[in-house]
Amino acid sequence: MQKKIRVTPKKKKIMPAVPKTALFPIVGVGASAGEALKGNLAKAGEFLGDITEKETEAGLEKTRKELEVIKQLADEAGEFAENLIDTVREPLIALDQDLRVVKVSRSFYEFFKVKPEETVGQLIYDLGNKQWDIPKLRELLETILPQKATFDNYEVEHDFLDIGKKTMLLNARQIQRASGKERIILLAIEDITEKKAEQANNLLAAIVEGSGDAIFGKDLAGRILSWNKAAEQMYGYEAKEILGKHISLLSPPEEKDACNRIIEQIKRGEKVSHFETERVRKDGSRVWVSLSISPTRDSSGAINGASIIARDITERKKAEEQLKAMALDLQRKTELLEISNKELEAFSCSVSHDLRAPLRSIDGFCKAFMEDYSANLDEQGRNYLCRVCTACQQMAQLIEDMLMLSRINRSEMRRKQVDLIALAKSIADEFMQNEPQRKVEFVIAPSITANGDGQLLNIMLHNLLENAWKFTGKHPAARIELGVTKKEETTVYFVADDGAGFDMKYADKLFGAFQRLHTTEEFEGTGIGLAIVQRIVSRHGGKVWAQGEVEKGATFYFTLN
Amino acid sequence: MKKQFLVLVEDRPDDIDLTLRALKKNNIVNEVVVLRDGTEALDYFFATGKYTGRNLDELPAVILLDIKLPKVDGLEVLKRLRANEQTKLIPVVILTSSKEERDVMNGYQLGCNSYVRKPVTFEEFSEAVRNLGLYWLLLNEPSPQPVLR
Repeated sequence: MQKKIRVTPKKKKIMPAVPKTALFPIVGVGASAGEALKGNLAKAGEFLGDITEKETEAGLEKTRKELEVIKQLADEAGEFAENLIDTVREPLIALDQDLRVVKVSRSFYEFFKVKPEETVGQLIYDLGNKQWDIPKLRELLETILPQKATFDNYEVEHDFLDIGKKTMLLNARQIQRASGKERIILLAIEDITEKKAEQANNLLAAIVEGSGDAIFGKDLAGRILSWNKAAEQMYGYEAKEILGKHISLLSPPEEKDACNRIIEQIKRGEKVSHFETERVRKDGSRVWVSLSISPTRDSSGAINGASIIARDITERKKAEEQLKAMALDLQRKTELLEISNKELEAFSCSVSHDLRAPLRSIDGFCKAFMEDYSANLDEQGRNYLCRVCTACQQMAQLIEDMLMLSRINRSEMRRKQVDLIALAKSIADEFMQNEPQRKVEFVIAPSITANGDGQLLNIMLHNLLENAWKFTGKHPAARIELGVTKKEETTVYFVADDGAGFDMKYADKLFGAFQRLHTTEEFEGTGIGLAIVQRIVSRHGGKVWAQGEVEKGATFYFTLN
Repeated sequence: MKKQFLVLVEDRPDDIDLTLRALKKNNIVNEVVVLRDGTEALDYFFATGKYTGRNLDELPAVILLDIKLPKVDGLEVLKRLRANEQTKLIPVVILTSSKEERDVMNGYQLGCNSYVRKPVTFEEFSEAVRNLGLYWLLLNEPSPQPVLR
């Protein structure tokens, strides 16, 4: 008749036996109630076994009396159990096997704000206008419990109409009674909403406390309400000495207005994000902080203060200042460099012009001397004068080249699409007209355009082609090619010849101003042509390089950006 | 009417001599008035300083003007000549060492009639002077003299 039920040690508060109705058929065993019942029932059994026919009447009478005792005991036990149920603080509900409510503890009514008449006999899911139709509860009752007679700490979160959002921990027992008797389900409900909230709060508090950023709160009057560890470290104030003090304690004098402005913003419900400002530590030193300030609200939603997260950005500010100083320094240096560059250009320009004047005198008076006095000179004397004049001409050429080089640096770039073919053809025509006796084949690609300064590109092409023309001069026939190719997505132009070429070990000297790989007797020139080419290419953001082999020719490659 | 004459504004004695020699060699025998700096040039054209009392009606066929001059430079002289009613139509040829774009541009903007860069070799220099002389003294028809009140 009895079903003994294991008492879960940690959940002693849950009733281990199930009352079905007020007429309580089963009494589970709370310690003292169980013991009493056991003894009486044993007596009843003994008594029944001893019945004889003779003693029927008396026996029956006795039985009746005994049964009354038993009934009384059973009633007492039932009442005891009911009292027990009503005494338990946690809501308790007993269901029959159809999940209809059989018995509900007083605390259940109180907690869920329901009345007995709308509860007992109802399907649990229908309680409180079907508010109890909770998927997780269905899962527990219909899936989990039939397989497992007991289930503890089943967490259900639900938003109830009357009592709001609750997190509940359910302990469920399915109590199988003797065969033929109905199954009883007992549900004990623990409200852990507050505990959960507290846990969450504790977690938040731990996060705030462990944060590397200073986090503190203030009310609308600006009084500091909370102060974390990082705030202590950042500002040098301990929580106990700053709590209740006005927030402006942390502001430098020039920032007090900003401080009040922020409080006004907070009152309007506005956030302040990444506001970078200086603050004052307890010791008076300054700290650069980035502030994120958000309004805080009370339970009714009214703004009651602000939370402040302050990040120490002193290092970053320092780095920024350094960077700024460096940028400024660089700018100053660049300006100085530009000035001195301009001065240098102006100087070289004026020197070049000024050098031409005495040169003109030397040449002019040598010529005058020769014309007026050559009769008094012997051959050698005339020869000397000729050499002076030749040197004058060479110097004049050098000066011209220097001027050209400086002009290329100073001239303003006027970029546009330039037809290199047209330029090359007219340059080639010029050479062939000047030296019609030479046999040179010009191979020029059908179409090459480049984005650049037409005048500068013309000078550059002139120098490259002239170079090729000059260094093929000692060969009976020559071939000069202007072409274009691709190298890793970059357009590369080239001028190739099959002339004197050069030794690759001197390749780095090719483009230096006044650098020559041949004597003037071998090939004329001042050594400025390729330097001009390089300057023009670099003014276009490009590169120039060369490949060559002695007596096999040279190829000059260039790119224009 | 006074025979056509030239004005050479030039500070370098060598260049003066070479110019005169080049003119002579090319049989240009017209008178050459040599002015050695910008101030002297202005005094000459406006009859001030040591040229006070000069007959202002006597205008040269052409002025050969150097840019780089002591005291007042050639471009300033040109500017003052062009700003004056009596001198604004006198042909001015800038004859200088520089062929910097800036100088050439300034010269033309201030109203020079020609811009010639002095070559270094005497042959070329002589040729340039000859061409200038022939052109401005013989070929060019000068503007009628402005009538001044």
